[in-house]
Amino acid sequence: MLIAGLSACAIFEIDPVTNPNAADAAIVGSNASQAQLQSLINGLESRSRGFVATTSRSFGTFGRETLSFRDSDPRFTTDWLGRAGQPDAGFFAVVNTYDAPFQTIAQGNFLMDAGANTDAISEQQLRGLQGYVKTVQGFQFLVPLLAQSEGGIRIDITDPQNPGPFVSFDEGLTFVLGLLDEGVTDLNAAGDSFFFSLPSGWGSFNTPARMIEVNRAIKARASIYAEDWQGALTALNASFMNMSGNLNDGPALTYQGGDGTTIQNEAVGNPFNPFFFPLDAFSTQIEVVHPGVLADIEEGDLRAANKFFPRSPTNFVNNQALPQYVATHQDGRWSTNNDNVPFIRNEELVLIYAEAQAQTGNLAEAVSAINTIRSAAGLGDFTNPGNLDGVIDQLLFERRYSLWFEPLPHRWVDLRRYDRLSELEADFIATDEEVFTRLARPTEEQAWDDFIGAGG
Amino acid sequence: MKLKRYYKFMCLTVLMLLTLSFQVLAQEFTVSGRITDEVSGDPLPGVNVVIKGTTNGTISDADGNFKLTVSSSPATLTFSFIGYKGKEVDITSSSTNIEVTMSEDITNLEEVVVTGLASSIKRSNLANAVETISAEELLGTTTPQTLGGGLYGKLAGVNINVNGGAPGTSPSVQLRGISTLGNGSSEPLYIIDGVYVNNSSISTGISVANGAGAGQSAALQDDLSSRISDINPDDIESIEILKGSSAAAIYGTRANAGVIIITTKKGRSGKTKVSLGQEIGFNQAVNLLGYADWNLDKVVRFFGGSSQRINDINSGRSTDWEREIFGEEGLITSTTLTVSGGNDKTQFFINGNVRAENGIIQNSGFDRNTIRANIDHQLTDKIKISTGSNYIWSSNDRSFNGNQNSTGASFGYNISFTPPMADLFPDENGIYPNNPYFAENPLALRDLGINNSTVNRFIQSFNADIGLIQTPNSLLKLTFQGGIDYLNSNSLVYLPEVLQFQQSQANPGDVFQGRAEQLNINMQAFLIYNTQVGSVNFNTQVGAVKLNQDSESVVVRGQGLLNGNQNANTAALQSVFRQQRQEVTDVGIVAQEEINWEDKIIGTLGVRLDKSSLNLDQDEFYAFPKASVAVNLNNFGFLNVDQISQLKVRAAYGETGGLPNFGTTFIQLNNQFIDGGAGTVLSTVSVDPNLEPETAREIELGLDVGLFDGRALLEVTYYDKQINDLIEFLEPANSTGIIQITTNAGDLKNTGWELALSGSPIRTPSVEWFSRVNWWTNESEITRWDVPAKTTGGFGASLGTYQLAEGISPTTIVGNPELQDANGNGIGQFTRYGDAQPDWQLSFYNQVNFLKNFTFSFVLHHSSGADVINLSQFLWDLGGTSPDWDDTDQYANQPAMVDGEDNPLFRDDNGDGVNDLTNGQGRPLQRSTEGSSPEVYIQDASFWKIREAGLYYTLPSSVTNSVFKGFVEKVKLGVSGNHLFIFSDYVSYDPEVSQFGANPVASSVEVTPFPSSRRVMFHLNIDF
Repeated sequence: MLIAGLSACAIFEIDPVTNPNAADAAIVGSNASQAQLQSLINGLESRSRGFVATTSRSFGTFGRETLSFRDSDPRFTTDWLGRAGQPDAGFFAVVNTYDAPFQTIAQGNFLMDAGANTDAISEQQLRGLQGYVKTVQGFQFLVPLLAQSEGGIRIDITDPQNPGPFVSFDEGLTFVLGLLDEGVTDLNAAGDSFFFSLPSGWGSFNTPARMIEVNRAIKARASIYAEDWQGALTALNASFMNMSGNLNDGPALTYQGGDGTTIQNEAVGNPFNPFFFPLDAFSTQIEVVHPGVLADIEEGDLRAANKFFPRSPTNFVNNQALPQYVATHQDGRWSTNNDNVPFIRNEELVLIYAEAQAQTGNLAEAVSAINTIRSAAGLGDFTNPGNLDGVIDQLLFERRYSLWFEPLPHRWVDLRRYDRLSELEADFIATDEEVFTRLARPTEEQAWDDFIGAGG
Repeated sequence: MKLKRYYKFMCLTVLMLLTLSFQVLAQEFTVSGRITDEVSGDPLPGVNVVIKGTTNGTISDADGNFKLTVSSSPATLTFSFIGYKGKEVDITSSSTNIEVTMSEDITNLEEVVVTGLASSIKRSNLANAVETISAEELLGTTTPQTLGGGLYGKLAGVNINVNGGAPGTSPSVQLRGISTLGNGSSEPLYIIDGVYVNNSSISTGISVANGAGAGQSAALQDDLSSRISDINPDDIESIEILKGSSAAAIYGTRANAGVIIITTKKGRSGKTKVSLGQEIGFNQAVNLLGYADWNLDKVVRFFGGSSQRINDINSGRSTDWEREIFGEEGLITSTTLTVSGGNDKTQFFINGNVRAENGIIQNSGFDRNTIRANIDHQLTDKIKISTGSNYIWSSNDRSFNGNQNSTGASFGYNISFTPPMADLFPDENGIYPNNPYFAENPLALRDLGINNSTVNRFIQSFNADIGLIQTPNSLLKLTFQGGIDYLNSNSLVYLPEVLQFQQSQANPGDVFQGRAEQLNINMQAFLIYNTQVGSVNFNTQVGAVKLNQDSESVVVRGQGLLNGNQNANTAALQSVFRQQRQEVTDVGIVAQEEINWEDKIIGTLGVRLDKSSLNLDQDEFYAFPKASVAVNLNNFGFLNVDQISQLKVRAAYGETGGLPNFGTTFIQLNNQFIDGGAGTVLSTVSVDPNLEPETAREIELGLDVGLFDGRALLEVTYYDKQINDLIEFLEPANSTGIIQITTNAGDLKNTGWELALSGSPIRTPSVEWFSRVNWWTNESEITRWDVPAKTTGGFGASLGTYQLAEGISPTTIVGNPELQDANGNGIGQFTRYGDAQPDWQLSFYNQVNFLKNFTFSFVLHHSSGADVINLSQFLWDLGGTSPDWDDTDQYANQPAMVDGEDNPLFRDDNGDGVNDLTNGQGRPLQRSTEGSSPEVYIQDASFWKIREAGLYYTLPSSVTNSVFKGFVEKVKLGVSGNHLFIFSDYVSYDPEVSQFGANPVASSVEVTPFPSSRRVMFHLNIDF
């Protein structure tokens, strides 16, 4: 009774504590306002950048486009170059080739649910939202798909505690192509404009009509991975490809106004352009141009001149794990750490066009497209060799320089597509390097399946 | 509703009862006497003399004399004095002058041990192995820098981890193994005079400034000191350690990791005592490792043909960078002034200390100024109040050490890659050259960088003891305790724009200015009823406790600074790096019954009901029961062996809790920014809707044997502690976009033995030797694991990490390659290489008083079988700077093949046909040549350490009297040392090391920490 007596005293009552540091997720779960949907869109745009630093650096290294010099941790130039063997489940520093795009996709699903569960937008506005989100998701799905390659990915990922099974690379691609098509269907029903705004990187690609052009560009890229050459050409027709236009045209990931904080691990953040390193600043912690790329430059190639910045000899970069090599060039594409980063450009679309034409037997058309690219690079015409292999050789050469170290680097993927990964051996610096074909399925994914398989 | 009103009435009635008091009548005579030590014959000042059955009493003066008015004849006087066996003397009105001798309580059987919120018990009746550290043991050998530093090697069942040797570091204390995997409370609860003190570590942002924690677990790599380091060890009278749940159950929901109860010193009535203590000494690296030599041949082999490096080696320059950075002797000074005294009614104790310690790296240091005032006052003969006020200012320059990424902002990391021929000294204009071998010039960093935390703190305790009803056989009293712990912390991490790494940044110059304010308020009220029924004594307690914790912190960051400016507001790029608030309320209700049958059988039953706003269900009460029994077989009379003075068997069971960390029970939206717009993202972290707090259940069994009239004591304890519902993250398939769901993932079991043998082998007027040996062992095993097996801590499977899976200890160190099932598929578990937990530990404490005035004491500590992930050596090897790098005799002339098999000692990466494995001790020249297994860097960290040693001399009182003419009472001189020697095969500064601070698992990872230092001090103490 005494306890009962005491427990009635006011001191036993606790005022419920709510989260003083962040909003509750339930707030936007239903009846979100347009402003709240806009903030979720900004969140999606912010998340969309999550894969860039890790993916560009690791794929760049795997494809011998760049080297990641980090004296603080030699694994960037040992493990990433295959000097500690093939990638395993817990492979070094590649988490965000996987987690970041999937978190972006999950944000997209969360956003579409919020849009569907509110009266704040019309059906037409909802379709616009869905079309845009599916376009972004289609692009993001390609990141883990290319990293995992034949290991496949999960595509049914809406319930965290009950995800669908892994599907093959081909099934994954089919799914992505279908998702992009759904996006176009939605965008076609979205009217003339979106109810939301998009950050500066999208430029004029901020209407349903122009979003379709981006969607089709991404589809063209995915189609060549699927070796659906006709599909690629069809998609290109509806894309923003422009043979006579600026090759740099295209939507970009937005880094304007970055404050440098990392967006990893939930911290509030707005990262800088991760490719930017002050030109010629003394540093041993920097991305450098792979010597293989430098060695094969065709004389007079403006792409090399514009992209590969020669450091002064006193500032050549050493790396403890590659002691026999001194790096001479860094990425010269950026003027500030606030530069937006294009994620698909007209130049790539022209090259996709060339490839698809070649693969469908139109070698002359392919060579003409290749020469459009070469001419822009200040190089003389390439003569049609009259056979597919010769055209593809040249195409891959042009892709190596035109698309060098893009946010989702191409060379590793391109050589894998054409079964030519062994060509990378010519670029080895250390004798113990190995070529990778793909990354291993992450530990957590394996562990989850083991766990479920074990009846957990 | 009606019922509630009734309860409120009850509540009021209970409170009103407390104000009642009763009077007792009296008839008087006076007794006086003198009290002396039985062995030495020295007078004993400060002995408590009380008339039995009353609260009337006095205290003996400096010459051991006392005088007391007694109300009725005959009467019994009880004499008690800390460290001595109690004594009772019968007197009548005719015995006006008595001589009393008291003997030292060598094995502390009679010591009163605080065991609960409002209870204490004689050690000989205790059912748990509660260890007590007296002021003598804490400070008698040498002066520890921080409280935790004084516990090293003195306690059985304790594992202590430390970030590194930075001054001001308070180690993290782990009692009886791991009690959480990091998501419940991992540190014991510290209670000082009833105040729940704040032992948080306040993040400064340095792990972002130096890049160490750019990814996960950023704050864990901040190399922080926990705030218990603010406490001045010299204020402490005794420390009691409730190691397991069976002892700590009454502390309920926060006691899974044990409870450390600290009692501060109090004044004694009598002449006012003034003491002045002065220390002067130095810090010195205890163990520098040396630095590899370089020559032209090695430069060419190591760096290839770089002309700059060849020029460097040809310059003939040679600097031992390790010694240059870590070779300072840091000055230690400490001045203490204590004034204490009082009269029968009021006693006071005032202690002020000014301590300044410089570390072994220039510009590192720890300064702490404290003042404490404790006042005890007998308000009426029924009411006693006491208050303790403690103000602390501490300032800690922790320097730049441990992990970093890309920034060079770590000395050890930096010099791992910097060979002796580097040119790093500033020119005549004070311009520091760039370090061509790494990202930073360590001398510039040392001279220009700042990493400081400054704390202002106020701790206030208040206690009231109110006697309500007293009859010959029973006593009802009310106790009230309250405490306030307020602290304000300012941190500054500053990397000026002129630093090499900053120059390579878009906005050179980086500053983190942090402010934190934390307030803990706790209060408790207990009713205690003690009654004797026949030969059985009943002690009943009921009470309530409440704890509030509020904290707020802000760290602002500025990048792009000019002209040495540290103001974030002047930076080109300004951001609020972190802002965080926390508020927590716990309430609990306690009831306990203690039954003592003539000190033969002592049983206790109790329960605590707790709720906390940290729980997912903030209104749910969780119950934590306890039960214990101690049987003193020697008190039954059938055991008539003279040599055995005590034979006790004891058993105790108890339950405690561990709360989720703040914030884990919320599913939140996070903000991100893009293009000037705010964005909302769904958190990647979620929570199980059925999340419960962690609970621990412990059973402890023990046997205590006292021998030779208390001259020796053997204590044997076995415990089995199960921690259920460990809070851990379920890691769903990452592709779902959720990376963590906080859930109750498993159970953990700790079992262990603790043996303590203490006693006084020699006891003569000229030599008194006290000695204690502790031996202990703990084994941990995860007994249930309901989420996928996972790794945690460290730097991934290729550099060594920890495995959480059923059937193994959470301290298991694993690494590549991954284990495979029968089909060759990875199973998410990795090859096991070691265990961070020692197999067993041993400590040996000795104190010898000899030649009347000398005291020598030391503490020896051994730990056996623990492993550490030594990534310092990994980095030294990589930079070619390992001391043994050139020690390659065993590789000379190795053939490529032996018996038709590849020779593991032959490596020829460059294909020149010569063995190019040039690193000593069989480690690979470059890790890559060894595959990605971290095995070679997971190393045995067994050690022997001389923790403390001290030699003191007290001037004979005859000399003192004749020299100082009675002005000075006592003069004591001494020399002592802390962490004097390490004997270990472990190849680094100190085998006790943790990059990840107070992280309960995954602690033993070494990445170029602040090297440990030896402290040597000279002492002078004068009592006036």
